[in-house]
Amino acid sequence: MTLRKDDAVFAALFVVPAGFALGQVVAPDAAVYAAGPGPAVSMWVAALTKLLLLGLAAVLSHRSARGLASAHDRVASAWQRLALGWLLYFVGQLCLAWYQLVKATNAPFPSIADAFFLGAYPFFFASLVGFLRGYRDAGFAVDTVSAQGRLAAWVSAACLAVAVPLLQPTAVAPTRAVETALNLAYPVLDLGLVVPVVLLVRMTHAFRGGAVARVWASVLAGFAFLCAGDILFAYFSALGRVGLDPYVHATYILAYGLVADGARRQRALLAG
Amino acid sequence: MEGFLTTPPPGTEAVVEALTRTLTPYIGPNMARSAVQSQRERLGIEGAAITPEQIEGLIVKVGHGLNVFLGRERAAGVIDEMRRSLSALEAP
Repeated sequence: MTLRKDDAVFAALFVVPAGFALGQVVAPDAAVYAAGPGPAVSMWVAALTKLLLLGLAAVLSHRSARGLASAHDRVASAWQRLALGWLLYFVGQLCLAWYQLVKATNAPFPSIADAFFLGAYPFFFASLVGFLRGYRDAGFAVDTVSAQGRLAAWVSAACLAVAVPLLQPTAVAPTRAVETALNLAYPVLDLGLVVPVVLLVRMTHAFRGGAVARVWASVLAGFAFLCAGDILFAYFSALGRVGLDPYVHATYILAYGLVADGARRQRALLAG
Repeated sequence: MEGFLTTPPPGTEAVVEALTRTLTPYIGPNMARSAVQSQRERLGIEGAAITPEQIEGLIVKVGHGLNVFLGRERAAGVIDEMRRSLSALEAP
């Protein structure tokens, strides 16, 4: 199987289920939905796809870490932290699947799953910062440390400027305090990830045209979709728009699929 | 590298071009050129002429930088690839 065919097959793993989820709201009268699977089947598809992709993201990131262990400690550790973050997400998703698939009901919010999802963020942040430092050590920095600091400050200010109006409806929504806190926590934590993500986007741009750029384009696009998914979830949850869940499912499926794809590409780079 | 023992080594620009071409599939043309030029400066390689020892030093430095993306084994393979691409170069 050529690499291009591998790429297409792997992309189908997450693009097809994401399209299937989106189709429910975009074209609910389409034959595939009208005559075929009901919401329960759609839930099964979404939940199992997320588990599969999160499992792949964790395993492939771990294997990338092992492959780089003798080559560069800092970058190997960064891949390992990414693997731990996705492992926590996998466990969180497993908790949700217990409600969705075994008990055939909507998962409560908040639930024990949120502890795992929130626990992943320190690993994600440490991982992304670790990549930046590791690539700088190896001589692949695209900016000086002070230029990166200035860019980080600008991005932080922009995130703050965007976050205040964006999250205002969620903050004032008539939900329980713990629910509101969590609906705000996820997007805020995501915005915290935006700073290292933007710095890595600059690095990725410098690598354009090479295999390394394709690894990072996938990983960073995955984090962008994760951020979008959390914001959508916060909106729909705070506004009680349960019927729009397929949008959230599709966004998370794309996020997990893209990150797993990036880890797969890194693994392929190591394997040769 | 064996070829350089009997024939004059290629010029610096030709070496930089050949190494950049070999690195491009991995790190893209811009970063490849930048990495080769930066290692060339670090090694103090100036002017149009370059010695076989300087070429080998440049190959090893540039190749080891790839460890961070490709791992040791694969980067060693790219180092061999760079040596082969330079052996194929004709003397100026």
